[in-house]
Amino acid sequence: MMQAPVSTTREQWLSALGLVLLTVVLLVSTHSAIGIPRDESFYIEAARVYGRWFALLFNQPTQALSDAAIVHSWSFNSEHPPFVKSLFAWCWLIEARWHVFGSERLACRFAPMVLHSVAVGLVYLWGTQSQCRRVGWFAALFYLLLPRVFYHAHLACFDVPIASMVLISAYAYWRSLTRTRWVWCFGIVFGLTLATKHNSWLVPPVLMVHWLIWARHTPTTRRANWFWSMLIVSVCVFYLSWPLLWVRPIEHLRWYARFHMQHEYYNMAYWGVNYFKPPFPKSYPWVMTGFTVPMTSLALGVMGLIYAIRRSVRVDAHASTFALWTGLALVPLLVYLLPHTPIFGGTKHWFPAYPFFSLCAGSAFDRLCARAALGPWVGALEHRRKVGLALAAGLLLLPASIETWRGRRFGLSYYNALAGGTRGAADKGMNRTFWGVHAVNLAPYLRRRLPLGGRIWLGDTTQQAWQLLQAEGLVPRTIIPAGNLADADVILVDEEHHFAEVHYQAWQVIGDTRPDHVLTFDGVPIVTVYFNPHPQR
Amino acid sequence: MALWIVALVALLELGLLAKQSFGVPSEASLRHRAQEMVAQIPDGPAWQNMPRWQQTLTLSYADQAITPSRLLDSGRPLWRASDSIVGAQVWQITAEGPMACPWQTQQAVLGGGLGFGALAPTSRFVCGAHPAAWVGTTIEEDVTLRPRHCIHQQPLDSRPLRMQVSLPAPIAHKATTLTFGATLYYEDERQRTGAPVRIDLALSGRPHAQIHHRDGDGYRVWRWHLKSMPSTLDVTVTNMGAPRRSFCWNATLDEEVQP
Repeated sequence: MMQAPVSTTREQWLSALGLVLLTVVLLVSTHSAIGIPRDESFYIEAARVYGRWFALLFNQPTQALSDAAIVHSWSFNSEHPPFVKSLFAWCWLIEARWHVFGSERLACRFAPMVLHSVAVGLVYLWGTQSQCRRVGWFAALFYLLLPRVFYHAHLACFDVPIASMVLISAYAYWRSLTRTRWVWCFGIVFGLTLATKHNSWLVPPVLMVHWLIWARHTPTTRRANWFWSMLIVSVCVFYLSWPLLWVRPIEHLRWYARFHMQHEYYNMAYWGVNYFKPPFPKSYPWVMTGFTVPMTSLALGVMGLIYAIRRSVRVDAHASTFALWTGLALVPLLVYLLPHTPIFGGTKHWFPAYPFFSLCAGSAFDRLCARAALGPWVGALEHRRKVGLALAAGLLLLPASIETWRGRRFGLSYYNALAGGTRGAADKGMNRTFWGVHAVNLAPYLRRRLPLGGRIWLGDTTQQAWQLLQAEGLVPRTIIPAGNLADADVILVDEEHHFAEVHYQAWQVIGDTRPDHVLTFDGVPIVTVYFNPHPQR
Repeated sequence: MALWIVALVALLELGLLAKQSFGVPSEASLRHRAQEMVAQIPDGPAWQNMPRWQQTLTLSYADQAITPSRLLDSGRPLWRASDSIVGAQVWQITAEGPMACPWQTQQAVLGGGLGFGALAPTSRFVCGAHPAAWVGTTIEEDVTLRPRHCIHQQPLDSRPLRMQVSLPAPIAHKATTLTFGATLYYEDERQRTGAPVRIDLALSGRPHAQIHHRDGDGYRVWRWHLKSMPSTLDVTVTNMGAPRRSFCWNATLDEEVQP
């Protein structure tokens, strides 16, 4: 039997709101040092294109709704559905009109930051409602202090938003099992989740299995209202959110599905080997999770997962909730056991598992505290017990706090103590970086090296990203991207295994193998810069 | 009890973090990826026998330029093909007969970047209008991502490319070993779906060996003991039918060690 969720108290709402605000403030205040990765530069361009279409919709709706205008605007970056990009576009419009954010970059990043903050608040609420405040608080802070998630939460990309949307959908589903009005809510939210990223395709099977198990133990509430809501409301919301589907829906849906089922494979270094096509190592998601979640958090998360699995099979009031969390925490990783699942950027593709991993960790913490002999240590008084618990939580989350703070600019290069940190991971031949995100961190060197301007070979950084950084004044406007490597005064090479050839091209051009400057994190080379004394121009 | 164990894990992690923050980076993590690749070449240059920290310092902070050939060409052979390219001759073998590819200097270098392969040198043999129709000394990434200093000689179609290099007279009286090493560019070879490349070697104008480089061979080395010394080495490369056969080779003559 499933326990009806308790009603949310004012204090709980305020706590959740506080967590949301805290997360937004943290993200906004730390975003400027984070460069613009390749994909983000494309999504910012998409925000501009979609934003112009929204403006046209207001000013000349007939023209905006013509097939030609829709196809012209929404064909850009159509391999990803538009919900989050539409949010970028709205914020971009606000920035263009009122200059609220101060830069296009922050404008486009704001919506994902808010979505992540809402997820942190919701983790707190769900943990509190389903169990107790201790679970809620610990799980929320645990989720906030995952270094790689925190880094990605800054970006105008989809990896953290889809994690947030999957969490919100799962919560709405959970509430819909006992409250009818949440059925509609679930339909709408899951429609938006479908319109966020294709990771959402993994959610219905988990919910289906969960519901079948849950319905078996709850004979009075067998109706699968959520399922019909998903089939009807979610599909309608998905359709309405994507103008491109208004023109040739079947053709585009087929293309969208085929694009992701037959996606090209990217390069990824793992234990010294550069993998570029399946089969990828089955251990990849497990080892990478083990190496990129802070060690203490990992221990608690694994304990929580084991605890959740054990609780799932019991027939009690919490079993259904634990079963749901377990399923949603494991399936995003289990999918990598399939033979043709592409591994692109690694960890970010199973971020949707982490809110549930955090809830499991919160449960483990609660369980540990309940069983711990804190009484003799802090005394029997209730307030002393609370202080003891807060100290314990603080100690357990302290390493994650430090690592999240240290890794905030180099989140893609972050590895935990189990891997030996970034240095240990480099020794082991793990991926050091990707996406060409660090050009912004080279600004001091570039100003010093090319005071009068010059040409730069951007490596993996896109020209759009460079122009955005120039527009903000973060990199010199006098340094322009070179079309040929031999034309450049400085050549950037990202330290990825398969980028070795660009090192060799640079050696060929300058006739020297010595770098002029190396951008490091924890002493590990992340971007190598060559200076070309005789550019070909 | 379990809480205290997790608390100990947290303290251990804090200790490890402190060690990472204030400790000395390991040598492997300090090295650049390209340097790691170089360091793994089994027959690499002599300085690779130095301790790792010295390699790192040598590469990153040396006062004088470290040219690719100094870095990559191992040993001190009597003769190396990549050093002799200026006096060589290159022909494209057509149905009408050999067509000479002229040696041109101060040519523009175009392109670069991921997937682009080896960059052309400014001085090279030019065998047609296609930007990739050149023969010259470059650095090519092999299938293990390692750099190879070699002569890029890629037939773009079924017409073979032939290079003839002269061997200097003074070494012609010494007993020698001919070592021939060849590779394809990483991205051309890694899918292992391409046709083999055929290489015909001739010494002093007489056929010496016909060998094949197949996808998966990586940087492959052949060695021959030479009893009579040749005056020229001819290397004819034939594309057996697949696109993107970015063949790159180098050869050395080494004095044989007397037992």
